[in-house]
This record gives sequence, C-alpha cells and structure tokens, in this order.
Amino acid sequence: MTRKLEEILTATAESVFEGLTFLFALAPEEAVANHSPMVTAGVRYEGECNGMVAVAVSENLLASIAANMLGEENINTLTQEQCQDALKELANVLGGPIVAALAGSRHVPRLLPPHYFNHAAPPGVPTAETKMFFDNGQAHVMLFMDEGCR
Amino acid sequence: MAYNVLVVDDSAVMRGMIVKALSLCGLELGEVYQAGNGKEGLDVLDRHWVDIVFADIHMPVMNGEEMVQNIQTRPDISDVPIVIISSDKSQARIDALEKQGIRYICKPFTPETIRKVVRETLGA
Repeated sequence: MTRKLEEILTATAESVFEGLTFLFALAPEEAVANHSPMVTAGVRYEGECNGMVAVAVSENLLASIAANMLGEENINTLTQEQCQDALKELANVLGGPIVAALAGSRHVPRLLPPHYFNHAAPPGVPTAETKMFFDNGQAHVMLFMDEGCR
Repeated sequence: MAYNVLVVDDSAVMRGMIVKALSLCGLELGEVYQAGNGKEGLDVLDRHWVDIVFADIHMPVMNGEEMVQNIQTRPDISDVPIVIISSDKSQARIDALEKQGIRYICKPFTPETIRKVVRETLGA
C-alpha cells in the first residue's frame, strides 16, 4: 500500500513541479546534499477519508519556485509573502491530483485552503512520502492520512 | 478587439500566473482586473464591464461557487462567461459547474489550455 502511495506521490510531484514551477528533478544519483532549512505548507482534505498533503522545500529552492511561478528573473526582488504564497499554491496544486488518485472511483475529498507551516513540520507521521532533488535544494512531498483511512 | 478580464483568486502568485498565461496565449487584453475573493470580484463587476471571468473555487469571504451563483442571479452580469481554475478534481463538482455553463480548468495549466478555453468561450 505504502509503495503504491509513494508511486502516486512521485509521479504527481514530478508532473506538478514541471508544470507549475518549471523545475525538473535530478536523478537520485545526481542528488547533492543541501542543508538549507526547510519550509513547509500543506492542504487538508476532507471526505470519505481525511488527511493532509504537505510539501517541504529548501529555502533556497523556494525562491526559485516563486520566481518561476511569477515569471520573475531576479529572485532578490521577491518578498517573503510571495514566497509563502507560492509554496501554499504548490501544496494546493499537489493536493488536487493526489487526493483524486487516492479516491479512485470513489467521491473525491474536498481540499481546504492551504496552510503555511514555516519551519515547523505538520503534525503526525506521514503515511507516505517522496523526496525530490534539484540543483539548489530538495523537496519532500508527504501524504498524511488520519486514523481510519489507512 | 481587446478583452477586459477579471481574475479572482486569493493567491496573488496564482493571479499573476493566470495573467501571464493570458498574455502569452495571444489574447488581446484590455483592462485586467484582479480580486482576492468572490465578494471583491462582484465589486469589480459592479463597477466595470468585463468580457470574461477566471476564478478559483476555494477562497475566503466568498468562494468561487458562491460568486458564480450570485452572478447568475443578476440579469446585468449573468451572461458574463466564467472559467473556474482550480486544483480541485472532484468530478461531481466539475459536472455541477459545467451544467451551469461554467468552463473548468484544472491546475496546473498551460497557456495553451487557457487559449483553447478562451477561444471556445469568446470566439477570440
């Protein structure tokens, strides 16, 4: 089950990062350790099954994400608010296809407004997660499923 | 002919992406109005002529579905085309909106997707 969930997360995350942020993940063997602090945003889903889809990214990477989403060439002109907004929107866009894939033919859960956690991790232990590595940082996409949904 | 556009989304980043996609899709833009929720969107529609509305669903104060319902009950603006752009992939919700004549685009989108929907909606 966890392996299947991780496959869903990985496929969705790659597609959304490419389509929304124009960033392409490195192959695992090309990954370089990055010790930049991570910031997190998540979106809760509610329906037949409840939980959260969260994404944590290196602060370095977040600036690139926000710049690409806004079409801004100079990352130094970005405000913290724009970066937080970009991360929340990334969590939101990841949430849609992930919960749809989880639901399959059942009723798709509703997404609630995204939440910015800053440096804090979302509560609980993820049911499944995937890690992606980029030139200037890394991203973790996590799926949390409430008790009774697993 | 230049088209006046209203973009309603609580994310300023997403509003920026939609406006950028519109500028890339070949649509001749007139005034581009932006609003952070459905209520602010209705305020814009009260004050300005708009040819097409792009709106998110999940927004504070007034969400996209409430805004759509409000628009459709007002004869002065009920024929303004509305396109919902959302990450919500609930087929029931999409079907309900499309039954009301609302177009639906799932995030993430490309300028080509926006262009196709604009062409089909406005004939532009």
